[in-house]
Amino acid sequence: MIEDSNLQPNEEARRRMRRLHKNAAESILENNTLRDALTDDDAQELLDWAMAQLKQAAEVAMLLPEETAESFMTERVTAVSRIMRQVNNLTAKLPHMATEDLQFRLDDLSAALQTLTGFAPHPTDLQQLLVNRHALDNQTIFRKLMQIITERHME
Amino acid sequence: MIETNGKFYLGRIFDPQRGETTLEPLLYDPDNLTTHAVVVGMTGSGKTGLCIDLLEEAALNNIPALMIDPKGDITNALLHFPDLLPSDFEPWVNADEARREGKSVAEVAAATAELWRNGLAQWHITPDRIRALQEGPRFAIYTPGSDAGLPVSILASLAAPDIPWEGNRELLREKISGTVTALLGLLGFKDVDPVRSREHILLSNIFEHAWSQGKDLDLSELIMQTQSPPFAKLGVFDVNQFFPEKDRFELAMMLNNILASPAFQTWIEGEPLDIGRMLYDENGRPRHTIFYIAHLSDEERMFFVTLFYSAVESWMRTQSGTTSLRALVYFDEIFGYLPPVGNPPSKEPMLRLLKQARAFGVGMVLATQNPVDIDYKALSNAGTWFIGKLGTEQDKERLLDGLASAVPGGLDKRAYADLISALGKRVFLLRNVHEKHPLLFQTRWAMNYLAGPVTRIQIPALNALAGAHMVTQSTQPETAVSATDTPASPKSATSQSEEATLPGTSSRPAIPGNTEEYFLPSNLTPNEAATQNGRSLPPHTTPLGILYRPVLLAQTHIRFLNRKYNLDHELDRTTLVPEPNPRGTIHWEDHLIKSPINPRHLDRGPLPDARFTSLEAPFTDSRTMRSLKTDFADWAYRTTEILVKANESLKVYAGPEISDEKFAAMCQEAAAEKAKAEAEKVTAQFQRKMDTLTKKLKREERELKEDEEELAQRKREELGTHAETLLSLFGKRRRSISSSLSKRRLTAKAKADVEESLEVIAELQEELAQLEEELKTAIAEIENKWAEIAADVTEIPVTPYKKDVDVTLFGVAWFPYHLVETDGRIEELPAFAPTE
Repeated sequence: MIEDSNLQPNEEARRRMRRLHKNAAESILENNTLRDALTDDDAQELLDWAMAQLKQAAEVAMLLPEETAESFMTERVTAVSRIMRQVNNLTAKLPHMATEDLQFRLDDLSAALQTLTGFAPHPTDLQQLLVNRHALDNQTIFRKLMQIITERHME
Repeated sequence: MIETNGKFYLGRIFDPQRGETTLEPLLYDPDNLTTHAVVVGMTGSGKTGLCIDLLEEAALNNIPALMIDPKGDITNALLHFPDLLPSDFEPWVNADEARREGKSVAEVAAATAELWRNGLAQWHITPDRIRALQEGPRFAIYTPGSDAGLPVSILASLAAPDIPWEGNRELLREKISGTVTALLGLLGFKDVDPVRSREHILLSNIFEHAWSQGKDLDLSELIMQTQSPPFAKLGVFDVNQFFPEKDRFELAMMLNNILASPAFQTWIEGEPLDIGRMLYDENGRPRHTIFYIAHLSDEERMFFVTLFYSAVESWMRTQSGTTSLRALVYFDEIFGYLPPVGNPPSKEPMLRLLKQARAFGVGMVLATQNPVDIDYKALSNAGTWFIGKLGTEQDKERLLDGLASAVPGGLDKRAYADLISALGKRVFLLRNVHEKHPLLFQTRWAMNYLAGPVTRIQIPALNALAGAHMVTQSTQPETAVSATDTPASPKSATSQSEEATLPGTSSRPAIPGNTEEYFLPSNLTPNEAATQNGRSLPPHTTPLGILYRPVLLAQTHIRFLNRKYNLDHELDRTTLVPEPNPRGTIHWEDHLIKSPINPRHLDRGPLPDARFTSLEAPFTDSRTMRSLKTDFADWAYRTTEILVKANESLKVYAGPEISDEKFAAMCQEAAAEKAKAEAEKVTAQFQRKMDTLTKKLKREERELKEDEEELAQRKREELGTHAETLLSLFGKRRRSISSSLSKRRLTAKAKADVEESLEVIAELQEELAQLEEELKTAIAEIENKWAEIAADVTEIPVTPYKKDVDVTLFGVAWFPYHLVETDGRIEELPAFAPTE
């Protein structure tokens, strides 16, 4: 019987990543400007999404050499906070936003999502948000944004 | 038809006990390739067939691939014919072999077509699958240094990479080292030691100087800078001492000879070695790109392979992490490129990719027929080994030794040896770390016609067969961004000419050690930024991305503690200094901002694709920065004071957090209490006097009553005496007149007593009333006095203790600006505004 052990990151890499992951999670959790316009339930949902993203990023970063793992995580944390900032802003202000501001924020959300996941949201989803914004209430906007930022991963 | 469910159909399980192939298909999970694969097998083992199978399956699953083909075998990946017609095969069958066998080419082609049809049918592969392969990725063959295939320019390899210098310094230095070693190899330098070779050191420094500032290099620029380096010193020596001008001229001439050589023109013409473009075409369709290098000399091959892997690595670093297989990078014969001893330039980038590509979903597949000359330690990261028939016992022993050293925990050499000995043609041992046990399998029939090595002159026909042509523009679906999609990305929204005119560079300047680096968040849109500046943006304003400019961010947290004033107050003082004086003198008060910056609200890193202006002094000087920090702390200590509201008479104090109204109310309350106490005291004094008077009054009233009774008695007595006297005038007994007079005197006296008492009572009552009036007046005075005291508020300045001045933020903060194009002009709009 021949058995091989799987390729596994060593304990030191795990420790390093736990630290990076913890720092990343803290920086998101402690920054209330990323969710201050949301209801408690919505804020929790957005935070749960963010924490899942950071966990996934940390798992990938664990496989990277030390000198690049940190910058890799920083890039991901920045993208996560950009997405949260835009979801927070758009949920609060979308119906009253000038078209160019809204377009800019949606574009920024899209770019950050690409950085984070490698996938861009479908332009139609963003366009619908832009066109229908006056008919949407905050809760609906939040739901649509959450759909936009989560749905691509399931494709 | 085989159901693969997204897995690679590579063949069927081989039963070593029975020595025959079973009907069970071998389905291999492509994601396992993210931990890389090594294919080992002697000539004739079926190694090329297996690799072509692997690449076909990748193509069917829309996984793009880059292939280095040093022998010309892998070009066979373009020979797929869904109709399996003899005419399809005819141009590719071996005419010499046909002649030798006494057959016409058409006959051999027909036989080959028949053979392929039958072969594929035996493996349940239908023409539909071949058609799917044909309609899958775009195939193309590139020929570096030759225009037989599509030419590829290596000049892009000299351009500054898209990833920032800072944060990737080590990687980019390694890339520079590999590029320079490869370049020197091309000049004929052998066994160049990057640490000792002055040529290597000089060229590496030229690259580093350019790339760290985000500047591209080309060969002309490299030649010019070799003669006149853009720096004066190398280490502690002057450049001229380290590498005299005459010698530098010689090196420059050697480089120039390459540039001037007509043969070299094909190296700098054609498509740039842009990995993103080589993986996906302009419509996002995956590509299978073959780099045919069979025609190159050993030095040229090494040069290209090094540049190729460095380019893959740079591209990879710009991708997001993933656990799925994103792309395959295949090298058909690694002999000489990853040796166990020696350090050819190709080895370092290959080693780094083997270690890191997994995180980015890039699978490396390395094939060799020479198991003796590979670095097994480097291959310990390979999760899959395909081991085919080996030529000699020595090869087997070396492979097993290497494999044992590469596998954590070792392996059962004897069992593996037995299995390898049982391998026949097209039978491979599969060791996959994702599976518990190794197994044997026979490779399936390749859908492509395995015509054998293709020569350079056949390549144009192969490219024509695949419809391959130069790609002028390409987009990767994973990072695809249109101009309207991501104005946040400067590169996506700007043309190359605009790129050149944009301020700053895409490389983030290095911050000196010990200096903190912060990133202010971009929290305004361009429109909001313009509105904040009291203007509006014209229509058709084009956002061109983010430009970071360095500012000096200094923030201090100061605590005021004072027991006397019952004070515990905290405040922050924040300054953003856009262009600090290079000599390090700053008027901090001129740069104060209203709202403090919460460190938790800062970004952890820059926005992607942002540009940066250069860092000037004092940012570049750690010592000046340190002294500025001390100066800032000192300034904060000296100039920060708060005013404590004080009512010294009442001993009431409050810090700045208490409003004037609230403090007035506090004073009034305290004064009212004081007034009440004083009034009670005065009232008590008056009360004592009033009590005395009241007692006197009561006594007088009692005396009055007695006097009145006395008077009444006297009056009765006097009346009786008068009557008796009068009667005695008419009776026998006589009463003297004097007795009557005496009674009258007594009555008069009693009357006088009553009157006196009444007077005293009246006096006492008046006195009492006066006292009450005085009391009222005294209380009113007390109240007035304390009201005046309550209004007597002063402000007392309080300064902090030095120990309570804490510098919480100090360093270089990258301030984001939106770059926008309005009416043909490029403007910068501040993208950050402090939040309350």
